[in-house]
Amino acid sequence: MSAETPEERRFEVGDEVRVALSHPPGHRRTPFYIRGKTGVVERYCGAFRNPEELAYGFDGEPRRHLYRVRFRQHDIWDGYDGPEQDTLDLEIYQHWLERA
Amino acid sequence: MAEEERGHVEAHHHDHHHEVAPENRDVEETGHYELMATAIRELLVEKGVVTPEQIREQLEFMDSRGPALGAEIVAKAWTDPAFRERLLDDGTAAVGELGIPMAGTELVVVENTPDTHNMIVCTLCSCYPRTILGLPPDWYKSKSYRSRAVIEPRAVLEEFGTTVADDVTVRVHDSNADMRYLVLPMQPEGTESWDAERLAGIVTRDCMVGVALPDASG
Amino acid sequence: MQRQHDMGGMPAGPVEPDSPPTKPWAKLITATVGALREKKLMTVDEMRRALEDLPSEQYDRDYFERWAEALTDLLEEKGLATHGEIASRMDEVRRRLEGGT
Repeated sequence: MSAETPEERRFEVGDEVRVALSHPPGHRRTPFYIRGKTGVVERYCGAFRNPEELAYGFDGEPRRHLYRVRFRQHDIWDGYDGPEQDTLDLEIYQHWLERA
Repeated sequence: MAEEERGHVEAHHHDHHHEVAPENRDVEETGHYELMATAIRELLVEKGVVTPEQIREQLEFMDSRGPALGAEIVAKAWTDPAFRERLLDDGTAAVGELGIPMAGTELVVVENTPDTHNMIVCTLCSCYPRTILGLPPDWYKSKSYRSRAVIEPRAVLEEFGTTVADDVTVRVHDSNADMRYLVLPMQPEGTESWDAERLAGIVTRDCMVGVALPDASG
Repeated sequence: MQRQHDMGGMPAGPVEPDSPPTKPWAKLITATVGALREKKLMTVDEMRRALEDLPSEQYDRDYFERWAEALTDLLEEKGLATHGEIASRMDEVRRRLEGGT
């Protein structure tokens, strides 16, 4: 792990966040299906080297804050065939998130 | 040791016709990848990029990992409330106590409760807690599971014979970055007096991925 | 655009729950990638990127076949072994096996 200071942390547990609706080419760890969706920060996972840079042989610095975000299934999928309370969690790097 | 490895792979090559036929595969095609694996290893060793020992260590570590390790973790959590608390609080540190490394990832243990059923998938590739459960099963890596587990988890669970009641939340975890997930199933009723070893016997891989429930009836 | 590896939510058939044991060559490919990662000669992220960038006829293959293809691409990219070297070594290994030596 590097000692390089990561970017400033912008979100806390409980914050409502929206995933960027953006489709840049290249290696991305934000699945297509979650882009543009709104959820709530469930936990802060730590700061990690940026996989979008590591994937091309760069060092991934500065590290990026990673959050676990919880979404209602009915907010993700039109016509989700399950009860209202079902949820989906996934990890989103801070640079993909904006305040909702 | 290098010769043993090569012998292993080559011996497999000769058996090939028997193994491949039921899968309706082109025998030559799979033979192609056996040759490729051997060729890559030989080239990298000759060039001094990796040593036979380094490859052997990787193979040995791989063979030492499997669902039994996960079952031991779950059984310990069921029988040791303080460990259970540490496991849920910081999975990486808690399995570290048992000598299990996470190899650069972090372990998040998610607990099934009467209100919530957890289920793990990796839609982008096939991220899996390999240092605990070993290599993922084929279905976990399949297009069907990766595509459908997020959009119709209850239908996928039914295909594994697992029905989750409508008043229970199904919580899917898409393991898409630096965390790895392990489901801590609920301890079945009637097993309160069992010791950890007996309990571990009912914790299957599928329970820890969240597509099945421990069955104490057998 | 939704890329080939990014399949969450795509239509697909039923899940087949059986899983045959991993073949020795597939373990060898996995071990080779592991050793290269351990030596910091490649990252898991580069491996994923190489997988995602495979032509679809290769990406749609068996998981470990896909890994083997991505690994050969990365070895060439990193100057560790070329596709040509691997192909001629495969011929050599085949001849050795057929010759029984």
